[in-house]
Amino acid sequence: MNQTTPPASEYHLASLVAYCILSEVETVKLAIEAVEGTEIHATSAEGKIVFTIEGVSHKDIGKKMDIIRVHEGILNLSPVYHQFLDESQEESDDDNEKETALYHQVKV
Amino acid sequence: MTINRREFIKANAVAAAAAVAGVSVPAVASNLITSSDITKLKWDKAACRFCGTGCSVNVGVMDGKVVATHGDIKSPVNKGLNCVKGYFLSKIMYGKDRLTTPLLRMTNGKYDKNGEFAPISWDQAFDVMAEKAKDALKKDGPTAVGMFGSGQWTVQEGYAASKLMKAGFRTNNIDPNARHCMASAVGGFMRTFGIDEPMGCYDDLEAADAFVLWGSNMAEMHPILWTRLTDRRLSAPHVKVAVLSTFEHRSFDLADNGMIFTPQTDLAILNFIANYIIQTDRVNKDFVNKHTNFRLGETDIGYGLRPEHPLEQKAKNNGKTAGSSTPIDFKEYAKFVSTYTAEYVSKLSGVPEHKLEALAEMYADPKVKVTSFWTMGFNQHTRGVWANNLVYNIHLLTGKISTPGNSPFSLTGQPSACGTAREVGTFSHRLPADMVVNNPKHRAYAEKIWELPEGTIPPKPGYHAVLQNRMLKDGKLNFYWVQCNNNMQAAANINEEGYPGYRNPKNFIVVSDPYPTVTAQAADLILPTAMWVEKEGVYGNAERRTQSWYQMVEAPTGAKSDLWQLVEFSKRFNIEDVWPEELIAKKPSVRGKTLFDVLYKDTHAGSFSLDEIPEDRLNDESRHFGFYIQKGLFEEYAAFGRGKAHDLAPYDRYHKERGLRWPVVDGKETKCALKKVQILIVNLAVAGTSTVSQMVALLSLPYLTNRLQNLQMKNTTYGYQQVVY
Repeated sequence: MNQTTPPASEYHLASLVAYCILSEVETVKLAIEAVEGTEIHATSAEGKIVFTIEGVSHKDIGKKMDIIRVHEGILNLSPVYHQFLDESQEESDDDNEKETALYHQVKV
Repeated sequence: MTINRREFIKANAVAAAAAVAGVSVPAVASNLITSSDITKLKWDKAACRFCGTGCSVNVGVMDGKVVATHGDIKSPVNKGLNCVKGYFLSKIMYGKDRLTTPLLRMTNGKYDKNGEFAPISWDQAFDVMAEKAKDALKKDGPTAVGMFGSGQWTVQEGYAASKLMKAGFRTNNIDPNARHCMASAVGGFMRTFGIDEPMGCYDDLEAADAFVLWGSNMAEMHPILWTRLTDRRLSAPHVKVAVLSTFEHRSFDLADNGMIFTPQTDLAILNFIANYIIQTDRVNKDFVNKHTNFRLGETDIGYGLRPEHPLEQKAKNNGKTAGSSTPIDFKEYAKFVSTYTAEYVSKLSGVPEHKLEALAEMYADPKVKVTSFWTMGFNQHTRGVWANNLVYNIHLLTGKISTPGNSPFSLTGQPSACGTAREVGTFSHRLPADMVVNNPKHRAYAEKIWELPEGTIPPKPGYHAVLQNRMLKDGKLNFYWVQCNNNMQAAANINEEGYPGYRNPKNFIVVSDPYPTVTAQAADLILPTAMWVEKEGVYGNAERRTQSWYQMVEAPTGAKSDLWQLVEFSKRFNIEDVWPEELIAKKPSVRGKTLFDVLYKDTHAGSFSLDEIPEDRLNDESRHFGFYIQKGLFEEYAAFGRGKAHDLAPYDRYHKERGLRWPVVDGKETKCALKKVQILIVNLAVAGTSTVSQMVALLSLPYLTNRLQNLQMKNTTYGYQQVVY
């Protein structure tokens, strides 16, 4: 996993599926991992790579998508899920408040 | 295990993507997705607002703001995927320069065409607008008033606008920007089939053995459908993809047969394919004999420029006969296309002979199911209608049409170019459900549904999109309202026609937009508009799929939806302001009423109670006007098409479905169009067409039209609309 972008007031995350030419899957993976904020989570036998991109804005992630999607081994790059958090409040709050009001904790 | 908010989101996002890709993910993430209540996000479905594909997206709202979107796994269109445009869905609502107050050009507190934009209230804005509209009506009558709309209007907005213009102000000067992108597709449909609709649907993507892209960079412009095509190609090794373009683009990556051709020679290539089918004796004679006739189209038809333009002066058949044709028989047709040999067309187009033959063989081989896709390469072609007709020819010659996998399909660019612009008929010549203003029976039908006296709707088609800009420049169209458009950016001849038209001192220009676009800045009055899930609406996509969504968030304070603007503005007109006494005398009950009463509140559109809106739902327009206006307008509109092969389901059902493809008959949507044609034959007669036998003759015989190609065109790019990719 690559390092995420330094903290900013917004945290953005998108998940994507890259449809690859089967013989190119490994080089596409390297190309994805070379981009900051990416993480590969699964790869299918048909050559579909599931990965996420983190960033500080819509545009930030959009730019990273653009870097990846031009790879010749990718036939198609589809975003699936996008969400952002406004964390500008959080930085001024103490840990307790984060715990109750802004951080949503889940126990599995 | 405890994880924080970022990780929780990531786990959700990964689970969603993994489900789409059909791969397994670590158990932790899978478990998390079931605990989504903890995120405080409220999820609901909406149609994407960006293109004609018609994807469904899930929209996540937190604290009154859209903070998340993802492809809707339940949607048969996009099956959980999104594209890069859809990725930006939430961003587009929250730009720093969203407009929140009406802005009027003023000097010293008064309207001045040459003044600077200054904020005013909605009341003041409508005061000025109404005054200008009334002035124009008084001075030059209804033809001095007009509107430019869009395939991004919701169905209800387009319908309300059309009614306001055609019945309220009694002008046909309403046209959508869909005129720019869809006129050729519609022309092609009407000439060949007599009905404006695609005969296939997206299900063909999983059924076809071959795909041909004619002037469409589907990989980048319709990425979701391209994903489905890619999946089909990769999962079924026998599937072949041919791509034709005037330049190499991303779709060539998947092409088994990629072809770069000299501009305009696609027409010759299409005729070559027809010739190849005939020469190799693969015409589906049974189909051709039963369902087609042959016609020779008029040529030298000009370019739709101003009549005094030298090119129009030179053209011989650009008058009323431009769309005409004469009957020919199969032999004459075969003789005509026989000129288009592989050798000749290869020389014209620059495409090697073996590539042309491989392409033609796909269409000719009776065992191969072929789907043809095109976008603006055909539809903004200088001979766009011909290109559409010619591709239908090869599908009709082989009978490869309206069966799963066999489909000529025009991909649309706007979310509701089909649903609103075309089906509602927000055009200068149209009424809902393929009816036209110059047909007295169609006008009577509309007047009956609208409960208006005979003669309300003017019979003469109004100014279309291109003509509107010319008439603004010429000072004949003086009150002009633009919604859902950035036409100053997008239209042709803006320096010569559009901009001088907007700035003509005789005219008052209103532009409704969420942002200060160049079009807004060229206006005299800017109205701030609510967008997408800030209102309730319905879109119709390219495969006849009708989809609805609820309002999910409040618009920024001060911004109002196009629907609110249209209907609220109608309150400013008493019927006596807009209708002549002799028309009012035919229905005296309208006397003293406003257009709001006559067009909306006291009609079927106004007959649904607020109780029908779930209490926890936002609906700013309905609660303002006092009735469920989106449902009312939809139901009233649907009355035009029900029983006439354009059947829509009851409104409420769309809130529960990921869209339904019309006609919806006995509660079921329609995939295959042949069935539909039969329905049409039976039912159109009811709607006032003279005899059943005439309808059968017209509709059961889709005709092959073939066009003499003007080969001199190939070295010249003429005006009007350039070929845009």
